[in-house]
Amino acid sequence: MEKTAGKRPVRVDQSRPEQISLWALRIIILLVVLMVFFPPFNPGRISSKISGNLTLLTSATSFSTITTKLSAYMVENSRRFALRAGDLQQSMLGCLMILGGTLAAGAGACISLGNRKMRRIGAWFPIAGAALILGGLAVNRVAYGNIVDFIHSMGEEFAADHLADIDPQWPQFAYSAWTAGGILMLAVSMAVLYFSYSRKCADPKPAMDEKYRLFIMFLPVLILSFIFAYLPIYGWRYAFYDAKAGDELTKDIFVGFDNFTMLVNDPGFSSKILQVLRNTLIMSGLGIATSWLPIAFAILLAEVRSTKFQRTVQTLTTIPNFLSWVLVYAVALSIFAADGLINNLQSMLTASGFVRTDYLASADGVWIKMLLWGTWKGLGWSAIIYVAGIAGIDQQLYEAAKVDGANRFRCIWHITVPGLIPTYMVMLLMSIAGILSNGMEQYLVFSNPYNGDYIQVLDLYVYNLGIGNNQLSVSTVIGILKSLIAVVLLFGANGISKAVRGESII
Amino acid sequence: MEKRKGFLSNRIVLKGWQKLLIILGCTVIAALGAWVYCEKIATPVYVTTVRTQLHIEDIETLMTSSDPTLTTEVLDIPGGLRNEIGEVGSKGKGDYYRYISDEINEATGERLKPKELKAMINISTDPADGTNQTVLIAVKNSDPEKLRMITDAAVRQFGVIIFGAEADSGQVAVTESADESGEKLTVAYRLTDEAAAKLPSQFKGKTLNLVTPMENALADDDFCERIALTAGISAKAADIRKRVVLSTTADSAVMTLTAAWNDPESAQKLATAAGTEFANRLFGGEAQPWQAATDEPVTVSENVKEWPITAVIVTIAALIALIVSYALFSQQPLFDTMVVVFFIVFTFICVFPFYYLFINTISDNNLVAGGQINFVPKGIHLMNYDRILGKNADGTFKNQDVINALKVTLARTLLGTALMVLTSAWAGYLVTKRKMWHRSFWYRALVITMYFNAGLIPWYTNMLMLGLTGNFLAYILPGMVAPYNIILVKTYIESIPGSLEESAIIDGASTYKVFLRIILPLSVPILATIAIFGAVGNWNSFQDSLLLMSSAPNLYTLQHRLYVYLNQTTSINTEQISEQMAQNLMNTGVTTKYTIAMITIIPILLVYPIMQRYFVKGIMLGAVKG
Repeated sequence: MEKTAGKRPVRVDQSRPEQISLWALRIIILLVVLMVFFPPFNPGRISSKISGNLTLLTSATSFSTITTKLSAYMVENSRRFALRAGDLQQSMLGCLMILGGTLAAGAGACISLGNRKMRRIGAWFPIAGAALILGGLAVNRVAYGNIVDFIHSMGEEFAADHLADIDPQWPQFAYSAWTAGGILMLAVSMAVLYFSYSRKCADPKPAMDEKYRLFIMFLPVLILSFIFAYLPIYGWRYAFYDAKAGDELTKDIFVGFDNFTMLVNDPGFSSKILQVLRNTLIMSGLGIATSWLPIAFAILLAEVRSTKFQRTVQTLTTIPNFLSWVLVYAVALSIFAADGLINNLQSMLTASGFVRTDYLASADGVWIKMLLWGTWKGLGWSAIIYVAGIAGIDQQLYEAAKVDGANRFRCIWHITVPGLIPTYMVMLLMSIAGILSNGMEQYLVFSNPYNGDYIQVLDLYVYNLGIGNNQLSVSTVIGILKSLIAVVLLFGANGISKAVRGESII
Repeated sequence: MEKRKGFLSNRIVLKGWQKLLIILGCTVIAALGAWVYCEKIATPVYVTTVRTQLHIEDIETLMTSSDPTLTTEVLDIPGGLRNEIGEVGSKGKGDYYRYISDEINEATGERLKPKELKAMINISTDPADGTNQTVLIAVKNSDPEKLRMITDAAVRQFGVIIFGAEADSGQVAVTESADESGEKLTVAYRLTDEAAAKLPSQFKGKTLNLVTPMENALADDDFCERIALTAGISAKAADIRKRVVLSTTADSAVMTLTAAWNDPESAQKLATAAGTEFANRLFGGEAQPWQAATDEPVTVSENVKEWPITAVIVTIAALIALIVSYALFSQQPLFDTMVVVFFIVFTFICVFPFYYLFINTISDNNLVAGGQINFVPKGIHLMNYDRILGKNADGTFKNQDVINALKVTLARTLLGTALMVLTSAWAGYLVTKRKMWHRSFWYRALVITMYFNAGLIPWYTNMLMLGLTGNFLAYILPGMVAPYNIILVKTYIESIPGSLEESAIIDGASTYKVFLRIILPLSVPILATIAIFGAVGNWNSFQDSLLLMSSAPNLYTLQHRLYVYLNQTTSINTEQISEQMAQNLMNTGVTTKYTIAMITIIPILLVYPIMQRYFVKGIMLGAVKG
């Protein structure tokens, strides 16, 4: 029975061994679930032609990804036919069983948080899961055997020639890990089952403490967040190898911190990075230098007497904010390209036979142009915050100032502006914290062979280097440094905010 | 607010309708004056423009001429290589194909003949790189293993020939691309600027560059007068200079001559004369027919009325008169008027581009190509939209690419936004429950992801690892958890009185029921706000499509597809294209781009008025937190 004295109900109904075994089970299941997401633990990698960067998740669900390099050998009539699709599908089935077993085990871990009655039911889930996992491993093993046998069945000479094509490879490490995990899970969940029946169960029906129930309802969100926000950090390992996309990260290409030192020592790279940093800092700097424009816009707008006019202006000037940068580029093309509006107007005014110039294909004033496009797109939108802020300033302040004889401009300078400064400070600090993160889209769409040296900011450089030039390692290094510096800047800005304003901004 | 004093406020008091009348009157007078001037007083000039091409046939004479302005030095790596390699089969230094054959022989024991290798390997300069620093090494072979071997050997030996030893990573960047059949690999071998500068002179060539001679010619009064003489037109050098344009690409031997004059025959004579005289000038005397020839001129535009610059000045003066009259007679201070004018101008700048795009998509395509549609649509039709969105006679779509992109983006906007809103609402609600196990820890774990970014490449490799490339789910799953939205919902729900929840729980409702029946309906304002921002974000999504969907072009988002179209035929000013091709490109290229852009913008513009309501609310709610 649970004692209800005091704030927390003390769980005296679980014996010590039972508690230990429950927590052991949960930790084992957590580790097993994690194994699904990491490539070294992929038991489905039964050929070296299957990418070493695939996880069990992909091996179980995506047949096309498994067979990218093997499909040439699966065509039945061709002289290279050495692999039956059915065998690979059997392997995939095995992986699917393993995945299913992991899911069952995960459900079991969640259920184990309930009361005794629930735990009695729930203890079967990890048992079933372990059975599925071990069964899936066996199915996969059989599939592997089939593949090897098939090649040999085509004749010894054929096998000798074509074994290297398929290159079957037994993923020993992954297999050991999963077998160990499955057996451990089986053992501990049997213990849990035993313990859950070892005491009398007075619960009328299966139920769970509210605190655990809420947590489990929240768990899917946490899992998604883990997969898409925390798991990418595993990708930082590329920085310590010398890898291109599709490469396996083996010991051969491990270089440790060489990539980091190369950035500084290699003159080609360091000068390029300095150039890119220059571009980034200048463009961010220009943005920060003109960050007062939305305030001026909002103040001027508030000075117009007609509210209808104000509303219309606000509505219309915020439209560019909702376009993507690709659309902004389309607009830029329509106006500034050789067949655009400006050229049309010029050719109407000057001598016919006027040579049209493409204003976008030049390196002059790239920074100013990017600043202007950014302002065109964002001014109306940024001003909305300040317009709302102005509406929130106490009217009595203005009346008092009028009584003291202040004219319009003094009112603005001494009342409106100080009222908006707190919001502005937060925006300014956030801009400074994000000084290296200009974003990539704007600069990607506007970049062309003429302005490359001036428009390439850090994010775009990382993209071009990593995806365009296929240098994954170096671009990962730069990305890591950028992330770390960004965090330092953020906490620095936060510290300044705490010191100056007394509040933090995060 | 007190009444502000204008210039005339103490002297004349005008009623509202009187002010309006004065302003209208000034506007009408100014417009009338401008029109009268342009139509009746200023002499209208009608101009016909004619275009022709001058072909330089005798390039050798020019290349070997002592005039330094005629040629520029340029990298020619394949040419230098050809000299280096010599004939296949000859023994001597640098037999490139023999080295490749040797390397393959060492590795596998297979002996491929240099002649065979030469047939499989093609080396050329990459035209996309204007500096000629990128060389394309293309290898064809039906056997993937052999293809791999030969390509690697070809690239390695190429580096040996160029640099004398292995090229290191600081000197070159190597990118590989395979074509669909899997039987051809192309390696783009790009030298850095430093490495290119250090190349021996045999890799540098000269190319014909007529830009400077052309500029010098037109600056010469003598030259211009001679053109007039040859054409049989009496005109001054300055007029000729205004009306004749020579243009060329940097390395081509074909020049475009454009001439304009009041009547078509004179324009044609002028164009031909310009060609003849320029050829004479290049060859230092009478150019022979086999050295250079001018094509028949083609009329570009006939009898186009030219607007004198004074018309523009008068129009601007009228606008200023309008503004000043408004200031004087509206009894507002000049400052206020300037502010209003500023906002009108800025709003115009924000809105006009969309109008311009729109009228260019519904007007006659030929007029658009001629640059005639600027403020008013002419020849209205909807064929462009039909060409992109319509169906063929057999029921298939005319432009399957755009239709696919449209479907994908629509699906993503509806499904992705709905799931994101549901997840944010659910998570935001759960996070307000203090009883959750270690609530503040999990909440912080969620929120920290907003401030810390693992990087673009790690995100990409993560997606590869999860098998989400080329998969529609990549659009939905990552976007479901948006910490900022969860914070917004949490803050909002915390402002709902707790008694509502408590009474429901006492009545025996489960968490789900409370969420569905009470929390969701009450949170509609904040949910609407995040739904709108989420929908706009999904509609505008470009980066994830760019990174993840290269293997599945039918899953490109609308923005990505638009980007592909926008980059297809960009009109860089010195591009040399034939007249017919130019017309074709203009008729299909520009209007297609504009139409697709309009298709992308119009839904946003249509939904915009509805969205407007929720913006300021959303900002307020966000500002409360942040």
